[in-house]
Amino acid sequence: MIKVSGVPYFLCRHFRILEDLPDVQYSENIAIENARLLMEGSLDVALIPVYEFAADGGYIGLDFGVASYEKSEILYLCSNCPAESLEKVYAYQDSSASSLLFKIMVKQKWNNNPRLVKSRFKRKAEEVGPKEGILARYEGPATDFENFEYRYDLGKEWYNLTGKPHIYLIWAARPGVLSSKELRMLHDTMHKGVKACGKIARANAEVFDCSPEETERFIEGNFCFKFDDQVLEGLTKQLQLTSEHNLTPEVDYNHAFISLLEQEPCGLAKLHEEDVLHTLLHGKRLSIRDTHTLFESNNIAQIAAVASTRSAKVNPGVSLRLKLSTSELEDILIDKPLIKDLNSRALDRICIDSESIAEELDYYEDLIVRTSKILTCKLECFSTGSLIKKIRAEDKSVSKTAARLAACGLSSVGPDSEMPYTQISSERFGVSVDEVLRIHKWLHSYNISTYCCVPGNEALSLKELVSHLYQLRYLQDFTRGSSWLVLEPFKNRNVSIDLKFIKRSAIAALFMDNITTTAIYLRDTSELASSIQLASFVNEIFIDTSLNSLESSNEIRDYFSSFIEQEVAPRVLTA
Amino acid sequence: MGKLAKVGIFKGQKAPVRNILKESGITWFDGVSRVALKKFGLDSIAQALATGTTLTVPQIKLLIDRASLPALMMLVETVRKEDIKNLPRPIISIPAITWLNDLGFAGALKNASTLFESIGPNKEFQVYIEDLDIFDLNKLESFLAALKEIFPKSKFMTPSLGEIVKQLTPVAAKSAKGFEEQLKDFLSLIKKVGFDRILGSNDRLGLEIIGGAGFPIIVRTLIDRYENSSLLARELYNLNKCAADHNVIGWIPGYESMMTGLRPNASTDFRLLRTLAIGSVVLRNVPFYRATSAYFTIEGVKLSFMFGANDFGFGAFNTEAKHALNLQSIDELSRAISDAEIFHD
Repeated sequence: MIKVSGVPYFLCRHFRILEDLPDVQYSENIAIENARLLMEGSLDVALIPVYEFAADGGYIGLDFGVASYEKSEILYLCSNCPAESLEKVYAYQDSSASSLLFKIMVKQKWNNNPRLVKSRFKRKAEEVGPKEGILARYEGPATDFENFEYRYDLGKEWYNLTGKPHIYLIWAARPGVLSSKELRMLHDTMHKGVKACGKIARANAEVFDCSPEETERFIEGNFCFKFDDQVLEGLTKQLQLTSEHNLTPEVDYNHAFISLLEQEPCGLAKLHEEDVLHTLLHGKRLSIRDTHTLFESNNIAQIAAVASTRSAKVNPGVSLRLKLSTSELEDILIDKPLIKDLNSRALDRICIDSESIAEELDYYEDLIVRTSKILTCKLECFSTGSLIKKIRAEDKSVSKTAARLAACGLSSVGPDSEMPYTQISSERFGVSVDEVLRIHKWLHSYNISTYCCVPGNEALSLKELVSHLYQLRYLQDFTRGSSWLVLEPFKNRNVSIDLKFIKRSAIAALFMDNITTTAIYLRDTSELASSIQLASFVNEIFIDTSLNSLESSNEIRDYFSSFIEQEVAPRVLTA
Repeated sequence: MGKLAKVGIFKGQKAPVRNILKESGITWFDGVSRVALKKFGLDSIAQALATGTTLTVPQIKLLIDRASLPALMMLVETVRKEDIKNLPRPIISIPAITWLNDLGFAGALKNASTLFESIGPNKEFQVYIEDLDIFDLNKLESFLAALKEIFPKSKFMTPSLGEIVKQLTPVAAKSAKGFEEQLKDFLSLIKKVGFDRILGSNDRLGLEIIGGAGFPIIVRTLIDRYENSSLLARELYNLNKCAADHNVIGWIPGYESMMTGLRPNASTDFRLLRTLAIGSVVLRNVPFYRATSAYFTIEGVKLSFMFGANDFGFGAFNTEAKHALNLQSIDELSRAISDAEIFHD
């Protein structure tokens, strides 16, 4: 049974559709109570305040909740004086999200510092002092402001300040509790509920002193229940401001809005590294917090050993990949003897270089079609970053491009070794994280494989690295479309391996538990280092070759195949 | 997971329990190690190591045949003796006998002193007498004595026992004394003349003779001499037993074919690193496990610490040493080791 809890606000009534789902035990509580129950493990999915989502963290956000666009018409600061002069404000008991919004406005706009006092009773103007006010939440469009002279729609104040929507509540799930199928089921159902929210609002218009039309307009005009990119931008801004003003307790991330709690409802104490490794040996998933714990550890041999217990389940292999420029490929396609030769060589795939030539997508599609008809091995082209830029430059649709490439016969899109999937990408590479993840999703939906890379950039902070991996893992949970986890070596170092690299690679392999193949490129490292990694927790080695070095690369492939047969295969797990 | 404490106080500071136990000489496998080793099928070996029981031949064979690299690295880390490391030392090769014959005592002393001075003051170094003639040892006594007085940190080394035996064999039959006795006599003379060491021996049987003459014993195991893992396992077992009786101070895994032209490469490095790891776990009666550039590539030496090496041998100071002993230069070796990281706990 999945334990789901909504909130009993009118605005959230359309989410009650969830109680119709089989295997769902639906209830309702105030949002802050939901947050407590979710943290303690009594709930699996709940609608919780954004403050709790950010502060206690660790949840998967379901892209649904409650957000306001340009105004809210339900959430007000009502006072007897201008906001800049306030000394005390009474807030209703479960006012977590609105309190946070109020505090942000106070710091960002009103430059004030009134005391915020929780109160069970809604006070009128005459019941508070001249420099006092109240936070009020209304179920529907507010009309009666309790005689207060000054009224501030907090949703509107936020929008005027930032130009972005404000999120109050988020549907959050405890990580690892739901399968991707269950998450999808919840998503689909919430989507249906959201589509029907106008109808539900009309049906319940008698709650307010409004016509059904006005009620529907109020709901659909002011609020958003399915988060789009704009809403998520607003969320990022919200969390950024709460962090800047120290309005949340210390979290693992300043900018990300997802971190993970332990799955057991046993409190928030940090696990010792041994306990973390122990849980991993028993098949549990590595959380972000525990990932940080492992990165702090010096027990690298143990971490590598635990990582290898997972990778040893997959038979290791060697892939020979032929890199060709478009002109080389064009020449091959008219060379019958060479075609025959290449088809006989058991190449893993042909990687078409798309960086060095500024051809349009149509050209590549045509090339891929012609190649797939003649050459038998798989085809790879572009990297995620370069594909996004081409799509953008040609003003094409991501989904259609992915569909067309799949129809042409493209098997995979190459790795982005330089580009971590964090905010860095936006600034340095001109590609946003959302774009990257979206294109991955579309490629996966058309069975085009992609790579998850552990970037070799040492300047990348630990938080950024883990954030990067987390997003890839989350996507992979849904789509299962990435076929390889590629470990990039550190740049600007000698071509061997060292303990820091082993630790990082082992932890990345443990974290990305939903990708079975961990791979390295031979070009990036020495033969000895590759051998050691193959014998440890790497189970595929990519050998890049060109037309001129095909013979020598074949020999290298044979060497590693023999190495695997003699040194790796005999030493498998017994249990 | 257990309720065992994971952190304690040692020497006034907070430290992980496994460090405290290791410093106290106790081999202890925590819960994670035991579970992981069980998955690798090595729990009986962990049990034996934890109780200080000598590993049996079948257990050593299991390590050779079945232990994965990460499991070996974990075993190495658990049994590693802390704070014992021999960094690379320079070694110079000189044709002492030739110099003495051609240049006389003064000329030979001058040549040697000039060379030794370029190593730098107060540095420990080894001197290999590349043209040692066991029938001409007396010439060397005063020469070595003079050099040791000028360079007190120098130590002198002869070729291996095998080479000495090769020199002795043609003439040994002419004597009434048995071969072994003659060999012992020569070794005593070598010691008296002022030599400090004999180059590492392949022969376990010669250990007693070398030890009996008062020389430190360093043994080489040339893995390509053993046709299968059973034979290698037996050799390591016997070596460990022997080491308890004969004060073996060091062990070197190597390849016999490298003496006849095979160059160290990734494949030999990998096998030697595995053997090194196994040796450092099995040979509990030997304090030093050497990764020498005579058998490893520079990269292999650099990575060897992770596989149990705590002695990085010698680096050639002059070209003659490079050729005579098949070693990399001391500069390159020192650079590789200083770049290498070590396990910390």
